[in-house]
Amino acid sequence: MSQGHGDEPDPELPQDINTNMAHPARVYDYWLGGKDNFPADRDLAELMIQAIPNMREMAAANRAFLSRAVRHLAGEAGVRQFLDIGTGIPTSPNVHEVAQEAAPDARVVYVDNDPIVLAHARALLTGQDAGATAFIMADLRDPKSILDHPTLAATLDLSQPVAVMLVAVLMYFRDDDSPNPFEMVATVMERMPSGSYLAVTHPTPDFNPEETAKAVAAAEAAGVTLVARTQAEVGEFFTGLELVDPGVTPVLSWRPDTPPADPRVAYYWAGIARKA
Amino acid sequence: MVAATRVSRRTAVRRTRTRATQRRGRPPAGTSAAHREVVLDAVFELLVELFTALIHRQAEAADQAVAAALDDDGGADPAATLTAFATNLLRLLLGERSVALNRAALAELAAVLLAQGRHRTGPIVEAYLARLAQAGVLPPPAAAALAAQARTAVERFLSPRRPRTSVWTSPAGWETVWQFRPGGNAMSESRAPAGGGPKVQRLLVGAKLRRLRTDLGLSREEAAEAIRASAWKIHRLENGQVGFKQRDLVDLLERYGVTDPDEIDELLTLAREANVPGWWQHYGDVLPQWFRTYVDLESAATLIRTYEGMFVPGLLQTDDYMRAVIHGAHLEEPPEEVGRKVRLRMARQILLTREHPPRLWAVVDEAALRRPVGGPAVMKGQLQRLLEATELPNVTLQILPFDAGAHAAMVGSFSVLRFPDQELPDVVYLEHISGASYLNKPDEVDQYLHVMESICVRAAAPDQTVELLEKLLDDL
Repeated sequence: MSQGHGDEPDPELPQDINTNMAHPARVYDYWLGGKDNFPADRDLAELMIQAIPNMREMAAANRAFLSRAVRHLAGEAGVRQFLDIGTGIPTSPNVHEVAQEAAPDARVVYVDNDPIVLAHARALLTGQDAGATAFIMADLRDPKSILDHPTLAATLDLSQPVAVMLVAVLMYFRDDDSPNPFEMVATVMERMPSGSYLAVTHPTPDFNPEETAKAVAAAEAAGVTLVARTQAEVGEFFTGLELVDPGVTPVLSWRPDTPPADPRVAYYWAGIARKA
Repeated sequence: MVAATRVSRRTAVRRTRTRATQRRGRPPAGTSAAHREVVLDAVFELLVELFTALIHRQAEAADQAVAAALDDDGGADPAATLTAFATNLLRLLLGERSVALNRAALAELAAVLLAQGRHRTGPIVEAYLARLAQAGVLPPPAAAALAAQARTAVERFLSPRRPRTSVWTSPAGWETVWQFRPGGNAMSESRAPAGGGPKVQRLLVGAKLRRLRTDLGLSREEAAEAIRASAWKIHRLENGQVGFKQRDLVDLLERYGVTDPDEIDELLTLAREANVPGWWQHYGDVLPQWFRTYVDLESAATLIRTYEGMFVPGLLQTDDYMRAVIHGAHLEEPPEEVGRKVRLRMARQILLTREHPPRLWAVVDEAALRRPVGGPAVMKGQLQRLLEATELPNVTLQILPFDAGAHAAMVGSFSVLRFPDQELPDVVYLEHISGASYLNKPDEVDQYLHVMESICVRAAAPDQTVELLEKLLDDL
C-alpha cells in the first residue's frame, strides 16, 4: 500500500483541499442546485445572484449548451474524442454520457484544477466507462501540463479530431495574465489535428452592463477573477478557426432545442469553430 | 500527477484482477447475484420469523381475551358474556396492532397468518358456541350461522382492499423488514435519545422552514410571534423534533412570504405525512429508536457517503463478517439472537440492489481491512465481497491507506446522507455505543463534508482500491 515514503510529501497526492476560498466549480454547483459546496462558495454565489437575479438560469443555460454542443459534435460533426477543460462538479448529464449516447465509442478526458472535482469525477467512473473516460488534475494556466499529460496521450489519439470544450471557463483569466487566455486557447488548439473543434461560452457585458459589472465586482471582492468580454473579444478566441453556424450567438440561441423567448436574458456568448 | 498513474494503470489493474480472480477459482462475474440471493434469503427468513412471532403475540392476546370472556360457562347471562367477548375480540381485531399487521400482511405469508392466527382463535369461539348450544341456550342452527358469520367477518377483515406489494420492491416494505422484530425484548442495550429520532419528513419540513426563515434574516423569536409560540418551539420545529400543526405551518409560511399554492400544498402534505406515525411504530421494541431513524433516513437517501475507520461498512459486510463483529460486541448473546441480528443487517443490504438504489461512496481505513475479524477465512470472504461490490455501478469504494498518515477523519467514523430534495440539507450520522447523533445544521454538516472531501482526495482512487484489495487478499 505504498503511496508515499516516510514523511516526504508524495508528489502524486493532490494538495489538500481548500474550502475557505470560493472555487468556481463549487459556485457553479450551487447555482445548478448541487450540495457539494461550502459557505465561501455559497456566499459568492448568492452575492452574484443579487447582482444578476437570473444567475441560476444562466448557469443552467451553459449546462444545456454543453449538452447540445456535445450532441452536435458527436452526432452531426462525427467527433469521437472530447477534451473538457474546467469540468466542474459532475452534473448529470455529463459530457461522456451525452457523447456516448450519440456515439458509444466516444472518449472523454476531463480536466479541472480542483481536487474535490477530481475525487467526485473518479468516484462516478464506473466499469463501463473505464478506458473511455479519464481525468486530469491540471490548470489551463499551464496548457502544456494538460497537453503533455500521459493520461491525455493514453486516452485520446491526437492524430484524430478532438472537440475542446471550454464552457464558462475563459472568464477566469485576464488579458494581462501570462499566458493570456487567448494564448492558452491557441496553445491547446495548435496541438489538435485538422478537423478538431473548439466550443466556448463566455459571460459578456453586452446585454446588461450594470448587472454584469456588479457580478464582476462581487467575484473580484471574493478573490475570484472574473472578466466579462464583448462579442468581438469572444470571437477572438476562434482566431484561425472556421465558425460553425450560427456563429457567436447568445448562449440560449446556439442551435436551441426550442427557440428562447428572449435570448438576451442569459448574459453569455457561445460559439463552436472547426480547425481546417 | 495522480490521475496519470492511476488511469494508465487501469488496464493493468483489470488484467491483474482477472488473473487473481481465476487463481482463486471464483467465477469472474455473477457472484454479486449469489450475494443478492443470500440477502433475499435473509429477508425472507426474517419476514417469516417476524410475522410468525407477531401473529403469535396477537393470537396469545386474543386467546387470553376470549378465554377470560368465556370463562363463565353458561351460568350467567350468555348475551352479556357474548357481548363482552365480542367487544374484546373486536377491540383486538380492530386495534392498531391488528390493523397494522393486516396492512403489512404479504401474500406469501398469508398461510402463516391463517395457521397461527385465525385457526387458533377460531376453534375456541366455536367450542364456546357449541357449549351454549349443548346447554340449550342457543339453538344449533343459530350457532352454526353465527360461526359462519364470524368466519365471513374474519375473512373480510383479513383481505385488505389495497393490492399487496412485495416487501423487497416497496420502500414501505423495506421499512417493514426493519421495523418488525419478534419477541418483546429490546434489541440492544442502547438507550434511545430523548424524544426519539425525527422522521425524515419532519427533517425535511423543518429544514425548509429554517431555510425560509434565515433567507429573510428573521430570528427565531420573530418567527415565533407568527404562531404565538416561543423561539424554542421554532427551534424544535426546525429540527424535526415535534410534529406540525396545520395552522402553525400556514401562519409560518405566510410570515415567510410563501404564496405559491403548490409550494404551500407540498409542505402541508409533507407535514401531514410527518405527523402520521408509520404503522410499524406500534412495535416500538423492534429496533433501538436511533437505529430505526438511521434506516429510515438511509432508505430515503440518494447518496450515502461513509467513512469507516474500524470495520467494513455495514452495507458491504458478509454475513460471516457481521456475525464475527456481533460476537465481538456481545459475548453473552445466545446464537439465536446473533443469527437474528445478522439476518436483520443482511436484509438492510437489499438497499444497494433495489430498483433506483442509492449511491454508496465509502472510504474505509486500511486498518479496518487489516484487522482479522473472524479469522483469515472470514476476512478472505469479506475482501472478495468488497471486490464484487466495486463492480456495482452505484458503489464507489476507496481505501484510505496507512501511508496517507494523519488524516482529517481520525476522530472517528461517520456518514453523510443526501436526499433527493434540493431544499433538504445533508444529514450527518454519528454512531455511539449507546445511541447515535444526527446533525443537519448547515455549519455542522459543512465541517463533516469538508472532512469527507478531504479524505476522498487523500484516499486511493477507486481503481487503485481494487488493486489494494487484491494485495490484501494475497497477503492473507
